[in-house]
Amino acid sequence: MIKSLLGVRFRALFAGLTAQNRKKKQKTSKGMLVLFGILYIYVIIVIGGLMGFTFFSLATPYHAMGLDWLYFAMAGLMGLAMAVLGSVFTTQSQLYDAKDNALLLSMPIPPRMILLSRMLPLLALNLLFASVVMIPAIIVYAVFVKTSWLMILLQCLNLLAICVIAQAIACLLGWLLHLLLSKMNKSFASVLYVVAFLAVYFFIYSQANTILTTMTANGQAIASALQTWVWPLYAMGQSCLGALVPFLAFAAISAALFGAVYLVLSLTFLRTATMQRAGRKRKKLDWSDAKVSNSMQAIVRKERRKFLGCPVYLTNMGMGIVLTLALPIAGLIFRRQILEFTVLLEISPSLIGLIICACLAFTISTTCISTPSVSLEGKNIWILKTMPVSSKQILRAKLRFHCLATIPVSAISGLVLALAFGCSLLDAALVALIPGLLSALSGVLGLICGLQWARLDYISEAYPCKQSMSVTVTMFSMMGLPMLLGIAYIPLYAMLTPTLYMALVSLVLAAICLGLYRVLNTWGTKKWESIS
Amino acid sequence: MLRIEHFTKTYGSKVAVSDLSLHIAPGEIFGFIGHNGAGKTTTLKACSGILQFDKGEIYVAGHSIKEDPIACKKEMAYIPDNPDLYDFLTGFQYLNFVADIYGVSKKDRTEAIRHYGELLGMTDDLSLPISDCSHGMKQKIALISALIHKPKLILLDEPFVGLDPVASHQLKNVMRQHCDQGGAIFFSTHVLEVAQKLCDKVAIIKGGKLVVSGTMDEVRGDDSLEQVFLELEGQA
Repeated sequence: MIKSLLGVRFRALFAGLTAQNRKKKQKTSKGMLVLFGILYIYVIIVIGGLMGFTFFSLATPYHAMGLDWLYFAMAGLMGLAMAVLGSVFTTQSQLYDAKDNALLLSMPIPPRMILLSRMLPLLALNLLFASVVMIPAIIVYAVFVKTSWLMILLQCLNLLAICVIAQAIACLLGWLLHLLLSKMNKSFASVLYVVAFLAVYFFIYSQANTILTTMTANGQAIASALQTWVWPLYAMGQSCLGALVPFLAFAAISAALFGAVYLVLSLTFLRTATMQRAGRKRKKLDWSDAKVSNSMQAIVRKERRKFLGCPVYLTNMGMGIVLTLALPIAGLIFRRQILEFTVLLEISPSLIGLIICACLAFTISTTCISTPSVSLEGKNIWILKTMPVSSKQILRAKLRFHCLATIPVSAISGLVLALAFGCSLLDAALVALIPGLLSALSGVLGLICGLQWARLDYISEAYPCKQSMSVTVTMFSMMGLPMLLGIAYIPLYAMLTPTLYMALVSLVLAAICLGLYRVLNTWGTKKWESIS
Repeated sequence: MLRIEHFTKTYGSKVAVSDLSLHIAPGEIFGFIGHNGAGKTTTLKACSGILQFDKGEIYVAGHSIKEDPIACKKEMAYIPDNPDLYDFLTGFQYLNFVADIYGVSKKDRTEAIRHYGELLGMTDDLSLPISDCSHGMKQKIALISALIHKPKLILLDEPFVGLDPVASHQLKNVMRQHCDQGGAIFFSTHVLEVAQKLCDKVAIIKGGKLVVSGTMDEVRGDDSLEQVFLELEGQA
């Protein structure tokens, strides 16, 4: 039974990865799979590289102090945190919001089996998150300290044990989250979670040096505290160095924890999975609320409500707006330090405008609001398709919402930063213009990609917002283009002043925007009409 | 009101509907009957402008759906078999969205929402998010949205599925009233008793091909519609 249930789960997972449109039976081409592979490898290398750098600063000092076990305990703890934080929302939706829960619960399958069939595939996700932390730690230790086959074997087994613990904690948190979400607005809760996560992340990131220095300097104190209070971590650290008994103890603790959580959840699964969300109270209709607007405004308003009402869409595509807004605030707070840093690096003040544009280009690249908007029509696509509005008008409305949500924020952020860092008025105008153009470009390019790789039959909204080819291509294109423009300036530096180059870049971006807008109006409308 | 001429739709090598021709005149309730996968939904989707098709023509109030889809869509409304509406809107917001698209004035939309809301027992539920609505409630919201702009032609795919007996009765009344006022309705159904009582004309489709079409009396003769259908399907 469990084999069949797991088979269904994995088939659903792989169908999401390979088929673009089940109706058309189109498979993702080999080229696209290779591109996807390269992009994911790139992301893993970047994150893994950052982790490797962090562990590099810990490995030698801890080895010198004879605290090698603490090094692995820290790596395990970080891997555990990464896996839990990264998978808690997915765990909640996979366990309790799965669309086939009602179907499976109506069959003669014990609820504990359904639960297990949902928990086991999630281990793969936890393995991915934990590996990003643990594997660099293992490699750094092997290269710069020592290694053996037994150590590598036990380190890998410990990685699996950490995934099991992470899964148990994520399931427990997912259960609590589900109970919480059943009583409050899901969008609000999701945004709250992401903002809290980012706040913690940025705090830790900004304090990374201090934390690392403290960890290096106070290794002995941390070690004795861990040995006393968190003995399993000590056992895990010891086992990574080749000790078999601590490994068996740690593995037993992991299995016991997983078993206990599984037992608790399996006892409550039926009740929790079938629990109705607290329905909102009926309000008396306010007839004056019926504001009359034209069709374009109506579709733009619909897009806005979709954006604000869909937690996955809002948190994944809207976070770039928050970052773009945060940039001038951070710039104003740390203005003095940044200026000192530019002096230290001997950066010419005339280049400040270009640097601001580069920073904003990065945050703008993460704001692909228009990209998933086509796929997100999903089963509702019949509504727009049967309405007396042209395809051109629908696409323009989607683009307009993207532009309204992003251009003012990016242009104002650019202007504030430019003025705060002493750019001339002309430079400030260009620094406001370039991010604005980049936002428009992200909108039009994103919509084209969204049309090209549209998929309406997704199981979860996370697919069009996070895992689709359209978002990946838009995001990396929007990161790559400013990089290309930056590199192109190196040979031109002697010939063109930064102001002149920014003016030239503005013209190039405007030309690309217009060209792509034309593509959207011609090819895009035909493509939209063919999607059903 | 609706003229389908030699309509053919293929999915790859599979012919879903082949050379279908039908004419639905103003004032007619036209039932479209067939087994699962016979091509009913494909035909309705093509009429509503959702599906592009290979051969033939479809005219709505004299406009070609291929040449002038916007003009066609202004004259009609469509409700699919499964009313997937925007979950992130309330029923009232959704109805206002539809009214905005069709350019319905504030006075007319308020009147229509009030009238049909009360008729279908939905007024109090329109403030709820659609995500909190049951299948039947969504069906009723979709129905109000279809009537809000007073279309000449209404296309309905299995409209009675999920409706409670009272709403089902009200829907039949609304359908008859709409056609008595000069409108036309083209709908698919599996409920042959309803079709027999409600329809002025009926067409039976099998394997994408039209088997029989005409007035209810012409099609069923002295038999019930169910008997005729089963005979045509080779099940009697």
